Amino acid sequence: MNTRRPNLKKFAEIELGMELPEVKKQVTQEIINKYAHASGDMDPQHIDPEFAGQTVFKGTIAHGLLTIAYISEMMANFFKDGWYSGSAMEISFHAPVRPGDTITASGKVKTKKTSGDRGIVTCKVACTNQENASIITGTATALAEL
Amino acid sequence: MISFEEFEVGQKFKPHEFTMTKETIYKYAEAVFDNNPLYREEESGKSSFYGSIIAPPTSAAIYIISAFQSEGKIPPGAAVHARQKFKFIRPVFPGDHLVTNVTVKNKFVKMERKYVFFEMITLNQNGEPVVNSEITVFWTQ
Repeated sequence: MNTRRPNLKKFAEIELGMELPEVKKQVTQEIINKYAHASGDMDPQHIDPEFAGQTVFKGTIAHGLLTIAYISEMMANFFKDGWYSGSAMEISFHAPVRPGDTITASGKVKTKKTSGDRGIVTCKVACTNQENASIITGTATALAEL
Repeated sequence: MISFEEFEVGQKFKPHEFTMTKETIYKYAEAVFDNNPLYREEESGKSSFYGSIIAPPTSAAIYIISAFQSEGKIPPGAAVHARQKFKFIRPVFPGDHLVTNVTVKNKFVKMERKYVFFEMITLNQNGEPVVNSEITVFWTQ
């Protein structure tokens, strides 16, 4: 690590209730397959339509952690270096993502506090699909510059 | 194949070892369509606070899921994500050698559904914690 300062969002510029710029992505079977190869998670419930048709979901579903990546992208876009370490997320999964779904990741600043020389900002985060159904909800916490 | 009944609270999986590479990072960023130059471009990495490209925090999925499956006994389609917690403690750099330890922290039945709760702690080659993760899966079998 070098001696440069981290590129952090200014704590004073972050207001409670502030909405983070959304991240929107369409998920296709091709993307799910690509993610399976990239992550090493080749569970057939994600990539084998015949197998997946026999499961409780009656079809292939995206990896839960693929959807979490969209939340992470939104947090990194907003908080920059305040997201890559010293950060946290807590997510509950409510519904699966299916091929063809369009997922929107959104976030809103929920709490702000200080700890030592850093600001700690927690956002309420969520992903919904094109029918506005809840896919995941949770919180994500990042650092900011005091 | 391991069944819900066979999991024991306190059970530890064999530690899982994984080396992060630029190729792995690039492939992951491609798959999630994340164009952040800090994950992809050498120059952006060099001029950043970190002095190098880094792995996206959620690329922890790569080694924690492998660690989860390292026992080689998880039946296909058996584990569906219910909850996930991450603490991203340190960034992961290309070349980092990571060791993930998985412990079964709890198992329970709720609304007739079976759940298993795992804790995963990943350390880098210096023995420093990188990512702590908790994952609760809905066990379908």
